[in-house]
Amino acid sequence: MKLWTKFLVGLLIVGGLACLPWMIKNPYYLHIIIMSGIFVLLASSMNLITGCTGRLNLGHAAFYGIGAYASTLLVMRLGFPVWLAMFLAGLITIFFGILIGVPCLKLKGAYLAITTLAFGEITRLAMMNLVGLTNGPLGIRGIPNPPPIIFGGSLAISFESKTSYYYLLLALCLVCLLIIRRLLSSQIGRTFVAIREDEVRAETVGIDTTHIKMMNFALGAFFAGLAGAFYAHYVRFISPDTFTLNETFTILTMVVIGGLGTFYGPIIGGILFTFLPELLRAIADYRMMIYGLMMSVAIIFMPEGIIGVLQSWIPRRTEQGGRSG
Amino acid sequence: MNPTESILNVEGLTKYYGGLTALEDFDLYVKKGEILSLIGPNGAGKTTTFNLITGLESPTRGKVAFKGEDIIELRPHQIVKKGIVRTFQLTRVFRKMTLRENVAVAQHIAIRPGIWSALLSPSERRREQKGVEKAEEMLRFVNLFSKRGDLAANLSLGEQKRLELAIGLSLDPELLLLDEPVAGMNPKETQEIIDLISSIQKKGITVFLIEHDMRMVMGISERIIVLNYGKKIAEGSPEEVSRNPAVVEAYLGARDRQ
Amino acid sequence: MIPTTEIAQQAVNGLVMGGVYALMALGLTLIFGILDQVNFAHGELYMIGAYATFYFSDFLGGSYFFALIFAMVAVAFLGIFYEWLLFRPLRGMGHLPAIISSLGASIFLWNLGLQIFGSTPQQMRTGLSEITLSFGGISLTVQRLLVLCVALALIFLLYLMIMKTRMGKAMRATAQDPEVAALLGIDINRIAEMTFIIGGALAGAAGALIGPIFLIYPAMGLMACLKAFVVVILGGLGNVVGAVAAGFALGVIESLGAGFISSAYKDFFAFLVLILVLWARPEGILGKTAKKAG
Repeated sequence: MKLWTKFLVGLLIVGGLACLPWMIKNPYYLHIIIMSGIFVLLASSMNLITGCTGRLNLGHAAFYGIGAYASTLLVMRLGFPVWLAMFLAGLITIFFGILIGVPCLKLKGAYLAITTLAFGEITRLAMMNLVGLTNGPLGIRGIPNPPPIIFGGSLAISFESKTSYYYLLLALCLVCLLIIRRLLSSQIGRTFVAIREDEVRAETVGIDTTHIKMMNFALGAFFAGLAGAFYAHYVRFISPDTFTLNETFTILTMVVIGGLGTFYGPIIGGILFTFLPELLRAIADYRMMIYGLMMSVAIIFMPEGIIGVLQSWIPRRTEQGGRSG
Repeated sequence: MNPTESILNVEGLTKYYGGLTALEDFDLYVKKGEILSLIGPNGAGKTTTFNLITGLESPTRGKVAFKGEDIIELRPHQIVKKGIVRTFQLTRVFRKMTLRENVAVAQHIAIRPGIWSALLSPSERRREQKGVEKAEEMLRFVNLFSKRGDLAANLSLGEQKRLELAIGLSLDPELLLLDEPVAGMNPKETQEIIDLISSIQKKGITVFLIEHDMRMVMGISERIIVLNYGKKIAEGSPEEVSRNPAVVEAYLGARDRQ
Repeated sequence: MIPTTEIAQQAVNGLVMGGVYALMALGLTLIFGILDQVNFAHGELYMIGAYATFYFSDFLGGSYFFALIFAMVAVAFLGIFYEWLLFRPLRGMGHLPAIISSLGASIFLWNLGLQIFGSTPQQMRTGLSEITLSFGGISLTVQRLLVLCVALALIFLLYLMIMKTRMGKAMRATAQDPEVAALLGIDINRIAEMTFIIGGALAGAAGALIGPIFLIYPAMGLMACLKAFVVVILGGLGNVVGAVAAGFALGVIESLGAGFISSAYKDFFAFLVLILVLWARPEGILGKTAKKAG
């Protein structure tokens, strides 16, 4: 696609998204859309680690939770302004990402999966048991919403209604996804894939795999942490029950079905799997079963996810048809 | 050995794996600009030597100096930056990437990416573009330019080996280590590689290679070192080595020289 | 005053658990060593083994021993299905796809178990838990003694099988070098099926043995699987002796830790040991030496 066509399509999509709240009056539907945005961020961040670099991170919900708790505690215990707290929460999550990332550097495959799972569970147990800090299983209520953004005069965006949150999330997603997009199509993105395909080879081609792997973990942690911080100030209640292994599995399903290692895959996966439970309310009990089944079936029959299936329908262009579609 | 003439100096290189002696007290030097071949029966320790030089494995004992500098402790990507590049016996190309992307990834050192520069700096983009251009130039050199947009998984064996060469060359090596560059190839493909190696030498790059194809080795090498059971048993010009009885015996009735 | 009796008691309890861990880990490590694939759904084999025994003995009123054998056979069958459905299509494609497919199966199976069996934990009664033996201050229920004996017996049988039978030799050959094994005419599909039958039977036995001691519930496979992985990693992926040794070791460490430090955090010890060991040696205690680039 020519560059200006891409730009036009992008503009149309963004424009359409911007008009969404006028068309959808039901606040519940808007809530679902907002949640799907959060999951798009979560899926995209997990995709960076698990899809692009091929390092299965089964503790991803921990990053989500750390971001949420960090922002909440900064605001409610230390009195930080909300906007600053949200940003700092991202940085704090990076710190934990590095903390977890260092011992994971030498691990691959199953070793890595188990260790990250262990870290994820340890984090959740910490959330449950450090009652003085996190209020334990009861969670934290009454998290403040972001203060109104004032444009001078009487023009202000307040966060009383869902609509404002929607626009905030839209802006957040656009910025984060643009960053991710730029990273994936740059040299860094290629080194991620090189490490996934053949780490020894990557090292002998001059890539400092340690540095890149840490950067990769930090990035995945950052975006997940931001998503968590947003979630905290949107739903205004958090508890350890939100940041469980099941959550990580759900996010993994989104990435796998959407398309491991692709850019659009996690976006499609995130949206699809937030809407799906709503459409399939009747069989809510069977949700995890279905996810598990879908994940196994997908990895066997459509390993490149929905994106892979779509791409196979398009006549193969030479370069652009590669993995970063 | 006059240190200014040798680009690589290996002293007493030894590697034990539990009870197995892969390499014992191996000394060698590589002259700047020459083509040196390392031969020996299977399991003699040739690939181990390469692994030790390029940092993929740690030696039990011994020293490796490149241009006078000790490189034993360095990690593989650091050794690449110093100027030693190696190809693999079983080609390790990134199968799901295109040829152009395969070589462009190797530009990593030249481009020196970082998150901020990737996002913000326009010169990063220019450097990436240069990386792609260089990738194409390398592909042209090995006669794979027409396939630059194809996936690496779709190449024939000969083409894969040439892609490995392109990747290696794009890293601007001073010393190129080739591990069985013509293994499994037909005569036509073998000749293509031989011609490429000659062109590489003309560019001033020193070539150190492992091979089993005796015709190729005798034809192209200025010097040959022979390994058997982890020990050096002969060293010299092709004529000297082919007449050495220990070498003949090691190969148990060596292959005919054609 | 060192409380030797208490230490010995905890150690013995630990050996009992260790036997169960060893059985679980053996299956996993065989699957990895021979087929180079990782089975994240191994815990569900254990869980189904427990429930199979429960239904056979409690509902159908069969004897516990027959229930045990029934469970082993049933889970062995399930193991073959694992191989056919989850692993065969992905053979040779690296570790990640098999991890994801078995993870999906695990999620499917334990949630299926939730639907079928309900989330209320069940108690298997076999009467053997009621009888306690004591020697020298150490007491042991017959059930626990049985667990230890059966575990050791199965391990011994496995040893005989791998070392003495032709199938065992074929499995070892495949573990060493699958390409050469294929050239020798060994059918990898048969080997794979056999490996999963054995792995399934062992895991089913573990579940059947543990059932009467602790409560059974659909998610019990998760923690068991995690611990089995810890054992396998500690012993080195693919290392059969390591799996047995590490299994017993973990059982004892856990038991001593729970007895003397804190029983609430019992499950933590496995994770703690894992992280510490992996920090020091990323390939496990008995794994192969790592290369510098790793």
